[in-house]
Parts: sequence; structure tokens; C-alpha cells
Amino acid sequence: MPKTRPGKPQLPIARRGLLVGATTLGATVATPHLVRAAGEVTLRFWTSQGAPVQMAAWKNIFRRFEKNHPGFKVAIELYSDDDLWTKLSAAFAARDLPDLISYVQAYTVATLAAQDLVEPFDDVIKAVGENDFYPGMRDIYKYNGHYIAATYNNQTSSNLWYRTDLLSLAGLAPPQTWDDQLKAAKAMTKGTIYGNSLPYGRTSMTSTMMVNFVHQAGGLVVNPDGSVGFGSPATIAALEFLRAIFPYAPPGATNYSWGEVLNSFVTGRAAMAPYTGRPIGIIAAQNPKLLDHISVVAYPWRASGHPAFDVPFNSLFIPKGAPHVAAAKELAIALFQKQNYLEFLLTAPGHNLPSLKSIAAAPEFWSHPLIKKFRPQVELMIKNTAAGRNLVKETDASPYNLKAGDIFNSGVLAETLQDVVVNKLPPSQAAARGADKIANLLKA
Amino acid sequence: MKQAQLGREQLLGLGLLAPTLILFILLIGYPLVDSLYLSLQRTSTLTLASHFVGLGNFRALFGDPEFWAAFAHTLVWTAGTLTLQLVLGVGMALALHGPLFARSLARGLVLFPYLLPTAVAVLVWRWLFNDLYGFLNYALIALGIVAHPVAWLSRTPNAMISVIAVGAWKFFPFVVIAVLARLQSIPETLYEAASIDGASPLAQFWDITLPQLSGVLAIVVLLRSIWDFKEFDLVYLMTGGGPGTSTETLPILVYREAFQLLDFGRGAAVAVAMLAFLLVPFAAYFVVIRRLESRGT
Repeated sequence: MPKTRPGKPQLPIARRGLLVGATTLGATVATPHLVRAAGEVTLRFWTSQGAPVQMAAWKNIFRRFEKNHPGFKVAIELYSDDDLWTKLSAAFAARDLPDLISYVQAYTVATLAAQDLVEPFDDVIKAVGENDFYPGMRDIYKYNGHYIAATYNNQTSSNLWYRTDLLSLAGLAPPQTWDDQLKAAKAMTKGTIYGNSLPYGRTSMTSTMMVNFVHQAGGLVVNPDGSVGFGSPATIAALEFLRAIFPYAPPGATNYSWGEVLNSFVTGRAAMAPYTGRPIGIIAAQNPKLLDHISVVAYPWRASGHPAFDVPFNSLFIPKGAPHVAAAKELAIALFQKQNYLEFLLTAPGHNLPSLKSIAAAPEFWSHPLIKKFRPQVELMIKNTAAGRNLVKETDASPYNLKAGDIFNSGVLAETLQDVVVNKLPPSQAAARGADKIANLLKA
Repeated sequence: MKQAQLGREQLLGLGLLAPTLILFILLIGYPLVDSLYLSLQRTSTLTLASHFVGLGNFRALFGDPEFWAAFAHTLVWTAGTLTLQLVLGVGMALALHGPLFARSLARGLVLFPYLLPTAVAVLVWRWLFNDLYGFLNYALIALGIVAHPVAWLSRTPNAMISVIAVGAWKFFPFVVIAVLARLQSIPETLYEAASIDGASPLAQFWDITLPQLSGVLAIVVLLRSIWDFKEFDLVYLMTGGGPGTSTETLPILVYREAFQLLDFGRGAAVAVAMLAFLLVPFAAYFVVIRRLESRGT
């Protein structure tokens, strides 16, 4: 019989037993999840496209894939643009990677490629049809002689959406140059309507547009020789234009990103706004009275510059360390199959543009009622998107910029614009400051 | 025999202490030491590949005006929101302590902002502040107070003022709970005696209520200043640190360094610097606690 201290109450079980029990419980809780379902492989698919209509499309597509690939199931896992890096970092650190990731922009893929974190994707490109891709959309992911991803769909925000009724009321033609746009913005700012919506926030849309403005002014962020081009007179001209047109933007524009810019245009509070083809679907669904009063042109450019179109190259890629690489490639190939591809593209008509020429020519693509109604505009956006570039490869002569993601994610491009409109720095000083920051990023 | 018994008792004592010790090491010791270690490395957030840079991260940080600007913003945010929380919290606690219609209901409702998830609260406030459709601008224009919408979150210093106000609204219920609990334990006889002596309500507040509240207020100020100093979600979701970097606080800088610039080492260095700054109120907290204990308050 165990001895106990006199005067102390006795526990109903021995203390040693309690300790053993507690230790066992602790060990059980801490034990990793060891039990795995047998006989079925689950492919984890990451996407940021989780609107109800898109989820329905994904489910249909994956149901077909599962039917054609017995033994496989596809699980959809959503991420948002804001938490992508956090999720990716955690996934890589824990070696708990998804099999296929979709809708990640070229900047991000470049950052991953720089650290050898992407699987080769040549098999997929070849199976889909190397020559069927628009060359720019295919080659943006050619790195060290291999394809590392595929552009699943694409769009450019370098379009200027405008209100046809307000512009004709002002007696003006659709703007072609920055001077035209400034004149139109002034003329259409009246009462509760702002002439021109633009993102001036420290946001991804502002950074995207800044790359575009620098290109339209005839400049580059990084020169083909690897030196910084951002401090050039072209950047200064872009900042001067953006400062001049700022008073005609809604008062909250210094916090604007994608959502706010879109909202200001589709609700009729802004007469002009840059965006992809998304306003078509949103206006049709939520503000149909505007549907006959909108149109789009290529985003105006500096008179001494040239048209330029920034595109994200929304990708499909397999992260290095993914558990089922071969099956993930099968899934990627299936996503490009005509029925599947069209079903996804048409979830956002006019916004999701194809990266395959055969799909851009398919009658089924053009038979969607909204695409049919806006056919000239969608054709224009496809043409401009096919000519699009971004910071990863600014010119044909530019090498693959593995620091593009670092530059983009640092926010330096948006910060430079904010230095001008929020901190009231002269454009030349802001551009020089931005160039210094970019130089440091390139050196790091 | 007696020695063996003693040894067994000691072992048992250690065994009983072990779970606490292990939890402490796992939950506090390890993260702390790991953060310190990380802050001395240059570490890729993605691959966790790292190399030792000694105090390099700190040198770079302390030479970076952005770090000091973020520190200044953190102080402004903390001081601003804490002051407002105290004013609102003490005022509301006094109101709820007195005779009030539906007092129990009011006491329950006042907790509402504190119980609301931050993301939801921010969504509501961002909508109220919206430049084109926000109720605040609508009301101000309708009342003829302003001719054009006010840019609440996209101009300086409006953005910081707005965030401070929302922070005060969100967190003042904590002050209410703490102060109200203390108010209810102040002996009524003190007020009766003061009334007999002819003390005015203001004098009673100044000479009885406030001294009685001083202990709890000291604790509230210390705890809230620590919590506000490291507040991330409310400020980040309201403004993202903008416009410019005008509301970028140190926790936002940690996030930027670690998850946008993908430099875990620099992020850890900012976090360690924050910890060093926080040690000041933390030490003050212990001094106050000790004094209160010695006074028996």
C-alpha cells in the first residue's frame, strides 16, 4: 500500500498514475496525424478564384477530371492575393505543398523560380500545344531553357473604360493620349461624378499601373543591362501626369486598389477608369442601366511615348516538393481542355481572356451574350493583352528579371506615386528616391 | 530509508513541475529564443535558408528612417487610442454605475464593440468612412457641414485620427468592465460621509472616486498600452499602413518585412526591437503590481 503524508487528503488515484496519464495524453495530442485514407489520392488545388460562379465551374471541371482519372480526387483550397505569401511561406516551411497552384502572377513565379521552388512545366505546355499559346504568354514562363508555368488566362488593366454618354455630352472623342485624358477628366468632373478614377493607394493595382505609366512614357523600371531605369525623365513625366490628373479622382483615391476603382466606375461615380474587362459582367448584373453607355479604349499614353499593356500572366504551376507531380500535370492539361477551359473563362466574361489562340477563335467563346454584345471591345482587349508585358520581362532584350517580385512586393512603385500625391515631393525627387530603393533591392 | 523517501518526494515534485516547465519552454522560451536567433540571421521566408549576419539586421534597421517613422506612428497610435479609451471608458463606467433606465441592458450592450471580431468591425467602419457612399460623408454633406466628401482614410492626418477613433471604440469596453467593477466595490459610506461634510459631486469624484480608481486605472493603462502597442489587425485592415506610410506601425512593418519582402530575419529584428520597447511598460507593470500588493489594494 503506498504511503501518504499524514494530514494530506488522498487522491483517488496515485500521483504517479496521474503523471503517467497526463504524459500519455500529452503524447497523444502531440503525435502527428498518422492515419491516412488509403486507396485514393487527393490532389490539392490552390486558387484565388472562389466566387460562387467560379466555384461551381471548378467543381464541374474537377468532377469530369475525377471521372476520367479514377482514384483521384481534387480538393479546392482558396487563397486571397493578400495572404498568398503567408500561405506559400507556411506551405514551403512545413513541406505541406499543394499539387497545383493557379492564378498566381508572373512576379510571384519569378520570385519562386529565383529560389528553385518551381517544377518544370514543359510536358504540360507541349501536351496543350506549344504553338497554340500566344507567344508572349507562353514565353514569359520560359526560364533557363524550361517552361516553369503556363499562363492559364490573362487580361490587361491597361484599358480605359469610359462613359460614352458623359464624353459625348462634353463634346470629346475617346482619349488617346494623356493630354486628351486630362482634358476629358476635367470636363467630366461635375457634381457627384469624378472625371477619372485611378488607384493612388499603396496597393498592387497602383504598382501595376505605375509599371504601365512608366512604359507608356517611354521608360523602363529596369534597363535590359540590369541598371535601374526608374529615375528617368519618362518616370518623372508619368508622375507629373498622375499629379495633374489627381484632383479629378474621388477623394479616397489614395487608398484605392482594384475593388475601389471598379466600384467607382460601375456605380457611375467615375466617368473613366482603368480596368480589365470585368466591368462588363458587373454592370450587367448590378447596374444594367449603364450597360449601353460604356466603352473601352487602350489606355492613353504619353504623346511622345507609346501604347503599353501590363498583364499579370495568371499562371498554373507546380511548386517544388508537391507530392503528386505527374498527376498535377494531368490536372493542368485537363484544365486547358476546351470544355473545361471555356467553362472557367466564361465565369467572368470579358475579364478572363484566353491564352490559347484556338480558344480565342472558338465560336463558343464568342457566343456568350455579353461577349457578343461587347465583341469589338473584347477583341481589342484580347489584342492588347496578347501584346502585354510586365516587370518580369519589360522588353524583348530584357533578361528574365528574377527580382521583379521583390520590386513589386516591396511597394516601391506605389510608394513613389504616394510620395508625390500624399507627401507632396517633386516628381524628380520622388523618382530618384524610388530608383535608389530599386537599386538596393536589385543589389540585395 | 528517510533519504530515499526524500529523493522520491523531490522527484515527484519535479515531475509535477515538469508539465508547466515544458509548456513554458515550448510556448514562451522556444519562440523567444528562436526570434532572437532569427533576428541575427538573414533568412528567406520561403525556403528558410539563412546565414548569420550578427547585428547586421539591427544596424540596418536603426539606420532606416522607415523604422523610426513606424516607431513614431506606433507611439502616436498607442497614446491617442489609449487616451480616448480611458476618457470613453471611465465616462461610460460612471454613467452605468449611476441610476440609469435599463441599466442591465446598457451594461450588456456596451460590451458589443469588444465582442465584435475585428475584421467585421473594420468592414463596418470602412463602409461608414467610404469616400463615395459612406454614411459619415452623406450625413456631413446633408447637414451642410462640408461641401465635398472627406477623405477619412486616405489623407494625412485624417487616416491616423480615424484609426485612433475606431481603436478607441473597439477597445473602450475593457476599460468600462475594469472600472465598473472597481466602482461597485467603493464603500457607499465614503460618499455619505463626504455629503454630510458638504462635498460637491465634483469634489467627491476628485477626492473619493479617482483615488479609489487609481489602482485599477494603472493596471488598465499598462495592459492596454502593451496591447495597443502591438495591435496589428485593426490598423492593417483599416489602412494597410497608408496613405504613404502615415499609419504604418511596427507590427505592420514586421509583417511587411517577413511576408512581403520575404526577409524573415529583418522581420524578427523588428519584432525583437518591439519586445525591447515593450519591456519598459512591462517592467512598470510589475512595479505597479508590487506597490498595489504592498498597499493591499
